[in-house]
Amino acid sequence: MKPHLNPDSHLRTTVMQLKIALAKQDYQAAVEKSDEAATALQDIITKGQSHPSVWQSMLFEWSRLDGLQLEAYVKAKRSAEECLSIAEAAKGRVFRLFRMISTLGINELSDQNEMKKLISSTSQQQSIETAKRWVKAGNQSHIISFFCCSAGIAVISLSSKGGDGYWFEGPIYDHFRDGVYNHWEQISDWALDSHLQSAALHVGAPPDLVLNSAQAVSELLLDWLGNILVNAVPEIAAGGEELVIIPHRCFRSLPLAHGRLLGGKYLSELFERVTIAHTLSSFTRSMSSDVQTIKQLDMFLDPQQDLPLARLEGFLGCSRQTYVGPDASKRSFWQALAQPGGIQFSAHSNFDPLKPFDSWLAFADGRIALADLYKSNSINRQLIVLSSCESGLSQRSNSDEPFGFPALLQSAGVHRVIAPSWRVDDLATLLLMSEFHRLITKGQAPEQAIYQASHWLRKISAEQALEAIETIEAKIPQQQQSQFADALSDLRQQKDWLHKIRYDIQYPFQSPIFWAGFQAYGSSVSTH
Amino acid sequence: MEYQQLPPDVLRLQDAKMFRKAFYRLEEYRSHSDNDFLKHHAALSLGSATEYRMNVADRLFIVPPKMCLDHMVQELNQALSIDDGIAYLYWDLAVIASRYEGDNKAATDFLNKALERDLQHPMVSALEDRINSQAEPVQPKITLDYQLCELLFQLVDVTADETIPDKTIGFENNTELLSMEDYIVRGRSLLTNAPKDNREPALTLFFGRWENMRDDNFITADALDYGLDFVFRICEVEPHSELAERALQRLVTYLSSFSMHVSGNQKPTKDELRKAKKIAGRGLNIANNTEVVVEPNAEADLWLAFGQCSGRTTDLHLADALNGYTNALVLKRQANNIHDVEKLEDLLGEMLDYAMQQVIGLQIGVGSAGKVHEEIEAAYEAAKVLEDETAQLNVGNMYQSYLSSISRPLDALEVLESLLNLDSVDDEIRFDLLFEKSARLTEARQSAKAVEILEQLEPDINSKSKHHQCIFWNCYSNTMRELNKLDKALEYIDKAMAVKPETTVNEFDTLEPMLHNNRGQILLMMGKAEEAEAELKLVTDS
Repeated sequence: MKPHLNPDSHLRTTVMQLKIALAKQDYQAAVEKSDEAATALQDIITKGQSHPSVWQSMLFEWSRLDGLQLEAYVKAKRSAEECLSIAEAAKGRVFRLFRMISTLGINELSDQNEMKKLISSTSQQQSIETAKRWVKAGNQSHIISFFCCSAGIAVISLSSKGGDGYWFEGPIYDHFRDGVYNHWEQISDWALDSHLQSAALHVGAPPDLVLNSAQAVSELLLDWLGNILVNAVPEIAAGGEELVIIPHRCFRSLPLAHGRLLGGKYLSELFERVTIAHTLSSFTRSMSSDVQTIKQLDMFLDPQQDLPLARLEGFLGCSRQTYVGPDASKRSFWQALAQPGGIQFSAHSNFDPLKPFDSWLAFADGRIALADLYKSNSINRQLIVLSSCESGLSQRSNSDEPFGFPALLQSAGVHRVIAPSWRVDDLATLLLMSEFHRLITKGQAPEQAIYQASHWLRKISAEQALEAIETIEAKIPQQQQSQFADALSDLRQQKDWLHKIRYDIQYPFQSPIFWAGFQAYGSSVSTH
Repeated sequence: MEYQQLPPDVLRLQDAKMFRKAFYRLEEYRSHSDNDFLKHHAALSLGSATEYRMNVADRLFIVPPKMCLDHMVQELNQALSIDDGIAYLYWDLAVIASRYEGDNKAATDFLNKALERDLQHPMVSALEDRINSQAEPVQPKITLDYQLCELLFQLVDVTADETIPDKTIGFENNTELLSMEDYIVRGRSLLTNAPKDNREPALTLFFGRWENMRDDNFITADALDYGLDFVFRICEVEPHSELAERALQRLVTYLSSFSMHVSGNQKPTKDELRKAKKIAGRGLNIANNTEVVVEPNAEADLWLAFGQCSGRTTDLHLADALNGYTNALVLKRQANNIHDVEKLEDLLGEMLDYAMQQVIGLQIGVGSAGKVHEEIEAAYEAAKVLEDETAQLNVGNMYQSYLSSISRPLDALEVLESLLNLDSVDDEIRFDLLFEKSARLTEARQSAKAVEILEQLEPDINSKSKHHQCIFWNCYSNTMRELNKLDKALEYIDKAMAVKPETTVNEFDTLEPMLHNNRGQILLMMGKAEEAEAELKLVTDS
């Protein structure tokens, strides 16, 4: 290499050589060039003291190179472990740096060689060894990791039979993100917006126009996701004990657990458990606290007293302690977080896709920001169920960082988070939660119960929904009926609607918009 | 070493009314080398701790809660076991026995012992009268303000000498350990559970008694901090009241002066600056998270304190310093504080100059990443607030370039739009800004719009420097490449190569490798991998 090239030019030229090697299908040369480029980039990034802002500003270049390197490795048929180490080293880099800074202090990050080790793919070795042991210990368990970039999508899988890497060639991810994801996200949000529905009615549009369109796109999306997965890892069609999916970029906000295969079966039906993990290291990291079977949840319901149906979730059967309205305060939530067991939070929340740390959960006396939850070192909960709009979403950008409630709560010590990826419908969520609680009370693990409840909701008829509502109504003690007058009035309206449509619509909640939002995020700690 | 006078650290603690701490310090000295002098002062310190607390109770018009009284009696007895000759210790026991416990017989014994030890106290005859008349113990009326003052007393009692835990809630030796948050929750629930009409008068009394104690400098430094916070959080229950505003004002003013005081040395250490920053940050956090209106001047002082401890060379945080001064300036303008506005404009101007020197020459792109996002963002904001158009153009250009490097072309375009709207933009600057805009549009995959601008600029490009021309044609080529017009892209990259200026001997030539790389990229997209490889060889082999 020309000695007078500065580090930037050297890197740029090496990357170009890598591209040419890929174009010439000389994958061995491409692997070598990709390693050289990765080393050059790591040199640049770690020169001087590492700082989050340096990392942040380098992420784009960095990630682009990761994509090229992964393409070279997958096409050169290098081992799944090597491919996985590249894909996973890319995810959550800034996240890891923040963690290190908070533990060690920024001055500890000045050793260039140490920092290189931390950011290179070798940093994933331990996680991969743990993951291999984990899949071997299970019965038909799979770990599937995605890496999405402009050149294609890499899908790397590990199972007890070994591992494999698959490359979907072409700008499939860019097309999906720009042409499908953005519009699907928009329309699925509109589908449950009552203001928009009234506006549509006002201009003479069919009342179900947006809902039906959202259903159509969502059904196609589930098929597309199932297809991608089964094409890359055909063995998953046989189902098994546990499927762990580690998404990337906007895939983090998709209902991956409910990907549908050609026979019409959903992954969440084929596998006993489907877990969405943020990164391989977050999935495999050991947790200190004991794992106990959760049969009861502490409930934080409707602190702002404007979600009447959410308040009824306290009667669903497995609440241990219930905080409703003004009692659902920040203080009581913080105190509850320090205790073991599970919590369910049913209230307003907001996910800010551009500034995820500013996202919040609403309580009677104010909000708790995601940043505060993340910084807290006193969370001992094994499970948190966030039954509030969009709380399962992750940072909206071309980012490798899994910033969102599930990842950050897990990072703060929670084993599992169950949360929806889009706006939730009040009645559908109440019904879903009623079945979820029923299953938990029977001893079903929450991460399994949530998917079983989802499919139950998908398949119930209007009559069954009416019965379920009446069961919930019957649980409200006579002397408390007046306190729940608004909720009961809402339920009456919903019953009228169900009654009216019972002969026209066979399965009123079959749209994925209603049932496919919730997914279980977590770690390996509560599994085999 | 035999102590015959009090060590300075003990004296300092006693001066600060931190008598329990002074006692423990003396006990440490005693464990190494004990003598009657140290014993005497250890016992006196412990006695003073009780004396101080009884005074606080009097000023708050309350009877010390049972738990605190027990603690005081225990400490007085401990003091007597160290030095039995101090009359005041017996006097305090006598007062507690008669006034608070109604045990006049015990009070008589204690008083006699005090008198035997030559007690001189103006209230002796008053206590004797009380004992002789067999007076009942003081029975306070438990009103809302009384309960609030009682809580405040407990808080001052604990925090006079101690830092209380953030979270710990537990029981140890029958002593209830409460966190600050526990005190606040208890106080606030007393208020929220009381009838609404009772709240304001109770708060007025509570606030007034606290203010009197404060005015008399009766509170120790730590207790003052906790107390101000507590009083504010109690008054905050009525967020729109004047009392809440005053309480917040007191707290915020205290925190900003405390921060300034910590960082205000001639040469503050790094630790001092960080401590000062934490204090100001705490104030800002409080101000941001309350419904109570913060007076702009007071909030501005907090920001100023925050900026002050961030802008010192010992522990420089340029972005925080800029943000601190910028926010302070905005608020001081809002408060119409002309004197401070002028000073802040100068201060911020200097800081901005310094920031611009730091980022000048910044090469945005791969490998340039040492410069901090927050700094450029803060500098741009500062330039806008200062309404300094030259600075806005300088920093804004760097900022948009930085945004481009981190793949945020849409944000960069927004900055460019606002720069294009500045009055001082002449034709030459407009040309440069439009050129940057076209590059950002290409990055944002809006190449068609980019071409529109580039076509508009093309007639004037020959009048620019060779460097400008080279960059222009390279950018034009990139745009054409994005539009998949590869022939045009190749034509323009060749034009860029033709006008590329020579570099000097010791200069890294970054343009040439970039042009060859881009040319290679076009050839690769044309399916000419061999030619692309040859193009790259020009970089690697020459």
